[in-house]
Amino acid sequence: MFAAALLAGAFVSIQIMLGALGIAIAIGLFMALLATTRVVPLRLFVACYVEVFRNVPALTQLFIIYFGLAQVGLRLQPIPAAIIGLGLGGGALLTEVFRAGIQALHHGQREAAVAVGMTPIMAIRYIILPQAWRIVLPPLGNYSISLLKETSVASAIAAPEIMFYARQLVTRSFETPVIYSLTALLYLAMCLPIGRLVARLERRSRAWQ
Amino acid sequence: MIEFFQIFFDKLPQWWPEMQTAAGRTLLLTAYAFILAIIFGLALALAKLSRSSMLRRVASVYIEIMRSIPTLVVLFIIYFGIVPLGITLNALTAGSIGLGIHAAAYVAEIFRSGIEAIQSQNESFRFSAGVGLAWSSPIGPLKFSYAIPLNAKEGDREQRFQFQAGTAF
Repeated sequence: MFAAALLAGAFVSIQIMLGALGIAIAIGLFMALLATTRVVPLRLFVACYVEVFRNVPALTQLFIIYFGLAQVGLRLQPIPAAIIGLGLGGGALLTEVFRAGIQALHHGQREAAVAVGMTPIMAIRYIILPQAWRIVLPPLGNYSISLLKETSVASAIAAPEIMFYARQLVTRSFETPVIYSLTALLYLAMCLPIGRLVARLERRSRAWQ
Repeated sequence: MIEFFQIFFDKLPQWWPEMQTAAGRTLLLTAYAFILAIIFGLALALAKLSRSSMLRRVASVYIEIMRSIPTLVVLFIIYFGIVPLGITLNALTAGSIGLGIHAAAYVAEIFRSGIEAIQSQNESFRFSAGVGLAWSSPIGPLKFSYAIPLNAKEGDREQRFQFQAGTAF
């Protein structure tokens, strides 16, 4: 009977994780490309974004987005607020990851691609990104696992995910050790397969090298 | 937006003492958890590299579990979960322990990769210890060296004594 409620929560947790992961990858990729341009104001902007979001705890970010914005008149539902909050924080992290991945490649790669007649966008799409992908994969995998765990802070803004249901069950039944252990097991059951999947992806991209 | 800053600056003096205490607690919590994580993490890393397969397995299971559970869940188990067993901790203690044993799993992996990196270096390098005598004679520098290999492996070519005349540039 506990398991059913927690499983409903697990579904929402995964939803938040996938949403935030999508936003974080999109932002991270975009910002990393901006950070590798030669335009100084753009690079400054990216640096500010990264520093601010990397140095503010996820919980604080969620509170600002959920409670803070509501005061100013922008009322978000808990789940979208959690997705946006975690996505923005993750975007800062992934910006650094992607930037490192792109800069690890020799700049001659891009120059050579442009020299054989590719447009800069084509060079990024067909030459830079496929190679950066391999470098970026391990940290990206680690990030998605820690993101799934970090969705637990969304319970603080009443997003109905695992931790939220766990707390509710505890206040109703007082079976504290059982419920939190079950919660731990559930996270374990979700994180281990992701870890395996990432390991397999890494092996495949290495074989392809 | 202007209102926001007005509230901010009006209330700040009133909030300041509390904010200061809170920041102090945060730093204290960080310090305690960090120390615990370093000590426990080192123990875990050593367990994972030990010869006993039992210890190794226990350490890896612990690390896998801790890395797959959110910090919040660990804290809740430690603070609320053990109350029915008759143990109550104060919040700061529970927080330090929870954060510490959670971070220990990550720290253990860092230590392990560090130790392994050094060990694998040791595998490929050979070390020796010895003494040498150098004499800058009228004909040119003469050197006599004697050394004993410390970690010679099967099939290595050893040279214990070396005589050298002149200097290599």
